[in-house]
Amino acid sequence: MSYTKPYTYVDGTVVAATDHYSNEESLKVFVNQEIHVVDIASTTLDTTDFMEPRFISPVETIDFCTKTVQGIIELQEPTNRSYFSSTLKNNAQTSASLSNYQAIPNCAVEVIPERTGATLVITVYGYAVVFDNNTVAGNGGAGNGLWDNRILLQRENYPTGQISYISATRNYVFEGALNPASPPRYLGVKDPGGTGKDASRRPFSFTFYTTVLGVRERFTLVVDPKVEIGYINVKSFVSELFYM
Amino acid sequence: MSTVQGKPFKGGDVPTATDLNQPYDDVAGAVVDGINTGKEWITRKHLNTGGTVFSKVFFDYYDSTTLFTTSSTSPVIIDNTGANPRTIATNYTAENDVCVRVQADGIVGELTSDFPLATSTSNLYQFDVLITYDGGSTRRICYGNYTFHSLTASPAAGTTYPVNPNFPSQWRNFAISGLTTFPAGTVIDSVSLRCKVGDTAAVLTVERNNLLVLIAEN
Repeated sequence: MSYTKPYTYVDGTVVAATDHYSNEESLKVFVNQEIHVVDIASTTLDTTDFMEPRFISPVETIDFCTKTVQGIIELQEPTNRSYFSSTLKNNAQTSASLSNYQAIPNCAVEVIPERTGATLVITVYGYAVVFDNNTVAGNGGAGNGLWDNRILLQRENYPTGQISYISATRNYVFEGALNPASPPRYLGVKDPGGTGKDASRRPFSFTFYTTVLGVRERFTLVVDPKVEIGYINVKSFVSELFYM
Repeated sequence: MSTVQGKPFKGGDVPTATDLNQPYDDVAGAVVDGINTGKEWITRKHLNTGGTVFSKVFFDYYDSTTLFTTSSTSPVIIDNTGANPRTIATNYTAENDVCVRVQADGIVGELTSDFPLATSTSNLYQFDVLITYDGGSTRRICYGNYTFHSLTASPAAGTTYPVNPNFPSQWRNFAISGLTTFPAGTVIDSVSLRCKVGDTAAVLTVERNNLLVLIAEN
């Protein structure tokens, strides 16, 4: 214990007001400002001493003392589909390098950290399904059955408006109609190998790690579609913000 | 500080030195413990972010396009550039009994299968995560098996019919995760992401890959 009283009372000795005051003042200072780690007993504190976790239901967030967890899980709802569609008509689609990322509904988190430098871990799972572009005369475009669709995580900085795409989280789902024995095998950037559902039904999962900037940021699952119809379902999007 | 004794004086009492010294000596000789603190008195602001941690997170990744290639039937550490093995040197000594959680994912690239599939393992490739601790002990924490081809029949040797012969499923995702525990004092040296194939005639390539290690002290 780091406290030492300034004055010791002695029987028969008249106490000066200043002596008594110094004792009381030192005790007040110690109790209010000077209790340190060495003054706290070992193995005496338990979970009831820590702030209780708060559940903030509108944003599906649990705030613990050491970390905040939030997320969206729709694993029990296989028909809860988040659809996407290329903004470029099939018959005008020729470029494999043009990207137009779309946010997947209900698959994002917003992080408003208390301080800079906290650790953020995001874990995402989903199942992507695409349908081949149509081949009706006049609507059919180049390379039906040969396009890839890229899925990855987008990071948005609210104060600056800056958007970045995190390549370490990229995944693909493909049209499934290509004929493997008849080139060209693909017009996108990747060759799926198999055809049919092998290519067009793809589960994906990734983990992303960063340290936060101390400002409001949004992390969103996005897709760059080259098909007219596709969807993602059975999805899970969880973020863990570790303060210590 | 356990309890601090105090004597309530009333008019006419003659306090002794012992009475007057008592509360100060009690404070000096005690420590703060459970009975001195209110419920939920510890908030995030009270915790020392510069001290020993509650959770320690490590992350390593490769997000470019150089493929790691292997035909090894024994696990090898993924290393896309030849100078960047997917190994995290954690060098972490557990303060308490800890829980270690790992998550790994990535996408495979161009594949070559051993077609026609010669054995029951010809169609398989595998990823796993290996922890090295206490200077050389190892523990395989999780693994996942994947197939080159989707099959229409059982994978018995000589009777396997891939849905798309000679065209294995490429650019698909792999993801594995696992948990394990270690006692206090364990030195967790490193964690590695590895892969192997089921047949030396097959070729597995790996493009982007991530490895996350989370050591939970509390």
